[in-house]
Amino acid sequence: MSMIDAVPLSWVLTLAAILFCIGLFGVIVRRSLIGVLFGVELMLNAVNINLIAFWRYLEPNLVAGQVFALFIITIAAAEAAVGLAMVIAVYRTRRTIVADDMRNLQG
Amino acid sequence: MMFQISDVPRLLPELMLAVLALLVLGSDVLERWADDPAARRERGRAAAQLTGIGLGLIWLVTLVQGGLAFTIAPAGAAGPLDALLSLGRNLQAGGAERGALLGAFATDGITVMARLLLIGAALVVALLAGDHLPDAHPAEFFTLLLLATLGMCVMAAAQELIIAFVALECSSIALYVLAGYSARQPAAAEAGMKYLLFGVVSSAVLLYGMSLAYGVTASIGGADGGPPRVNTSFAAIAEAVRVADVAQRGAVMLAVTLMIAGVAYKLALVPFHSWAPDVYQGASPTVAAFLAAASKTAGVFLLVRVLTAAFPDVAGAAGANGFTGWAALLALLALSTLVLGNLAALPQDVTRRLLAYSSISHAGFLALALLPLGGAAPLRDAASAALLYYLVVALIGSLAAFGALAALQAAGVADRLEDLAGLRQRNPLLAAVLTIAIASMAGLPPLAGFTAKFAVFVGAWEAGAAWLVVIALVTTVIALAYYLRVLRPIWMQPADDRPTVSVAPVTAVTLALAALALIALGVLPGPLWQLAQAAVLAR
Amino acid sequence: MNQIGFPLVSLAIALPALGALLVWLTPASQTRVARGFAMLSALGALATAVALVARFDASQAGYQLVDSVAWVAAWGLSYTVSVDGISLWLVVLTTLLTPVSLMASWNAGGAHPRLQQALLLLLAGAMTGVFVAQDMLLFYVFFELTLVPTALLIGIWGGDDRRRAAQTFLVYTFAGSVVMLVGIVGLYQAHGVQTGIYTFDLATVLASLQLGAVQLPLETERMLFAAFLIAFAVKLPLWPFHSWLTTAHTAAPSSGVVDIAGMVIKIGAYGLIRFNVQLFPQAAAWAAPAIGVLAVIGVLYGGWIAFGQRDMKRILAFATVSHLGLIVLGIFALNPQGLSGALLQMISSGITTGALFLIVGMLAARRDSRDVQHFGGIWGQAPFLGSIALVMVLASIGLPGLSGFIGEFTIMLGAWISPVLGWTYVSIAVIGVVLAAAYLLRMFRLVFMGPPREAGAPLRDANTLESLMLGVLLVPTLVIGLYPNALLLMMEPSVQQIAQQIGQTLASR
Repeated sequence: MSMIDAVPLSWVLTLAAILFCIGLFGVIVRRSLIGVLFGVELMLNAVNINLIAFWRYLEPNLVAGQVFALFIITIAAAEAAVGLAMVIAVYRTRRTIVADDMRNLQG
Repeated sequence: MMFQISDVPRLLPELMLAVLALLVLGSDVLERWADDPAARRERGRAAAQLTGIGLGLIWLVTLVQGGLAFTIAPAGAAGPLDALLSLGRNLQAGGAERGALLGAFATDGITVMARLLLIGAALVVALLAGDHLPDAHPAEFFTLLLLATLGMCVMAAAQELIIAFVALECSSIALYVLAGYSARQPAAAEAGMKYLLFGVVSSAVLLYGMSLAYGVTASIGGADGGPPRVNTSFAAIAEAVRVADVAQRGAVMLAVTLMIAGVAYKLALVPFHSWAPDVYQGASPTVAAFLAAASKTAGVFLLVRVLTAAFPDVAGAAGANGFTGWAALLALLALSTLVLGNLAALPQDVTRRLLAYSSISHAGFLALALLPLGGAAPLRDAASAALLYYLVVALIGSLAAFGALAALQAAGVADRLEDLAGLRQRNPLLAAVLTIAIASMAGLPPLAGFTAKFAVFVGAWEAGAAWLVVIALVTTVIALAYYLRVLRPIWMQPADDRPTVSVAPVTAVTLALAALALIALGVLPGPLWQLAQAAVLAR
Repeated sequence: MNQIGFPLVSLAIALPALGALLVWLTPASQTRVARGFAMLSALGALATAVALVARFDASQAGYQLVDSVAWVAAWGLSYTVSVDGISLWLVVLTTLLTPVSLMASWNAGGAHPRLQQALLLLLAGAMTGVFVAQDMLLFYVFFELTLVPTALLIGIWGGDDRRRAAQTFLVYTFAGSVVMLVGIVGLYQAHGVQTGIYTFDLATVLASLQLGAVQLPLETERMLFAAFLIAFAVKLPLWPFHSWLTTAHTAAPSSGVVDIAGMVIKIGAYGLIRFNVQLFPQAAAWAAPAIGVLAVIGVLYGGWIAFGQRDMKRILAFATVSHLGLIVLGIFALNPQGLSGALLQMISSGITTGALFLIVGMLAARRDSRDVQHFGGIWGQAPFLGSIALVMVLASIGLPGLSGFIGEFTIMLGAWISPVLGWTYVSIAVIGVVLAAAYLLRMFRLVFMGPPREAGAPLRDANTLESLMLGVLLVPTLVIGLYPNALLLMMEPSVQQIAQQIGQTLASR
């Protein structure tokens, strides 16, 4: 019995949706910049699960979903690299990575 | 998807941008690297000049390629120049019907307009930045600027989800770094960080929407026979949306909503705007000018592509004929942006924050201009032309206003409103440029901002959103109140003992040209309007 | 091009604008050259206006001397300017007041004289543009163009409260004009949808409305009417939108006040005739009683408040509110008498109130106060100022033989016989006229009559420049008073035509 028969698509999509919401929740409530970046990673991986699931269940002999997921993985890595570099830059000037402490700009 | 040799002329400006970016970065190695200020200035100037010249060249190529400067006659008798001419002919053949990259990249009139606007904005920013260089490695600054422009140009032409996403990220990542470029200043680092956080979250939201859109398309798929379809292309999505059943329509609407939310951050539409005031204030003013002018324009073009190419069937309406589809979503965004953006600008005391909120409220007008794009042909085309017109004017206006602020900052003027006191006497040119730019933003005739707003109003009114037009007009009155807060110190307060402000010649000429353009486009809107119409019709 | 093959009307707009440019370009040290350029262009515009009067065919209604160039053909937008019997004399008034305001600005001195003169000229050009524009959007453009110079004049050279006054003025009138823009877009759109012709041309739109090519539903017509009404009511200002006027008048410099009192607020009355009454006669008839009530309230309120003031500029400002109420009453009588009376009164009150503002400015400059209690008995010291002031006060309160009488009388007559208003309005408005006599004469008595104040130093009489300014304004006051037909004859056909159209529309209702 293949995986497709054992696990319906909707389950996978639900998993992805839950993951996305957890990530979004993390983004909203975490005060640490690193924590926020973690949350974003969760959201992006939820998207990847979505894409792979759609590809595998609906059009396994085409490549678009797979390729899209690969692009997302690559670009997420780039984003994380820039993000962490900026966390370091902020840490060097402010000695903190807690978002609430960034009060240099009024508003 | 395959890269064909015939794609080269169609992608020429983008390819040139990529090459120029590498060239600027590479040529920096040949400069003298030393820690003394003279060497650093030398490096910076070299990079700025190379970028400026290169961007000017690319802009001209785009102009020629779009057939806007002059059209090369079809092949005639063979002459000594024929080889050159046929090269030019091939260049101008860029707009073939399928578009480049098997239709994943549109090369129509809108793309040409987008390239002209975005590359032009980058050119102006490069000219402005040349005079007050970033303190870190200057070549990297210009490389990032070029890469961001490249991403924006591709974004504006995307006809496929993956390309749209990669282009968006290409511009976004470069802009994150640019926003935090002067990393030694805490404000800049913070600005970059905030921009990055909002950006990555928004792109995650956008991607979730994209994945749903792909899923709907893939589930309808049914590629029996025929060539395999690319289910991430906008054409495929549009076809799938057309035949979708009720449940799938629900998923489509969710996808559209998430995608609009994801791009809305680029435009700084309320409630996705809260990064904008901080970033505009914290980042260096040239970068702020680029963000306010180019980044927003590119976002609008992406929305135009996504909404009109992929989701024309769920356009809906936002007026007397019902309140459905993405038109309703945009109407809500426009409403909240216009009202909150303008109200939040009222109490601001920092010039750049105030202009940031004004820029936010302008995004509301852009959303208003996007509304009618789901309509029927003649109305839609007029509305698209109005949108293009508005984009051109808003771009020039933000470049002029933020450019003037950049020149002020370079001259050591602090960024609160009272620091502008007596600018009329301290530097008449900057006072005039700032006044014209702001009066144009306020929509005072006969400046370009008025004609642009007017065209947008007519389009939205005809689309049935008269109620929103009335609200937008009311908010322009609020806007005038805070614009006056900027103009009042400039014109009506004495300079007292504040020093005069000197401006570098290149900056002065650039800003004066921008201000003149605002006047010219306001007094004679005809030519640009025809250009916009031609761009819309040259699909 | 027009029937005489020369863009005379455009010249009246272009000359002041050109003068402003020349003044702006003159080096700061060359005060006399700048003044020469300014006065030359202002007089040129005046000469153009006189030429307009000479070329004007008084037997014809409708637009004459049309200059028309397509502006944005795709939008149906054109640069069309022309004069008819309604706008002709307003153009003359504008061009007449411009040299006077220039002289007032020389007399008052003040910082940045070049900028001030350039702004005055720009204002004159824009004002002329408002009165001659026959394209709705062009009208709007000129309408807005008048705002900026006015606000700057108040804000840079004004009195104590100038910045707030400038801002209040700008925001108020901009808010009003934005509502007008809604009306213009709505009309443009309705016309385009129903006829397929998208145009801003006033004559075309008017013809379509009259011939029934465009049928506006009742609510739409009333809403459009309201949109234009709000803009012009704020601009006028009609009670209860008047609060900007008193602030602005009090803070404005003398030279600027002549402009505002004489011309800027006339735009509101002109717009009411040109747009509200001419385009939407049915809605106008429907709304006339209500607007009449507001106008009468304005007449009484302005008079009542003016009576209690001590600041001379405030007295005159509230007197203006009162006068404008009367003008609106005349317009919404919707008959030839009311309309031509309103037009005459617009011109007359522009001149008399302008002259009084000038005199107050001169007195205030001499004694550094505008409080009536700081003056008294200065007739003996300044008989010339006193006599001119007396003539203007008498003209303003409507003494027969002077300019104010004809206007007021015709307005009353028009309102009395009007089917939409009636004698009740007139009988209440008359109280306002009586009040006007009371407060203006009170002001005159307190300032010029009685025992001289000991505190005040001897007061200089008018110098040559001041005498010249006041003399220029005295002439039309007498001419209009003694021979109003000179003006009425030229207005007659246009006014009759409008009234006739209203009559037809109302009859077919």
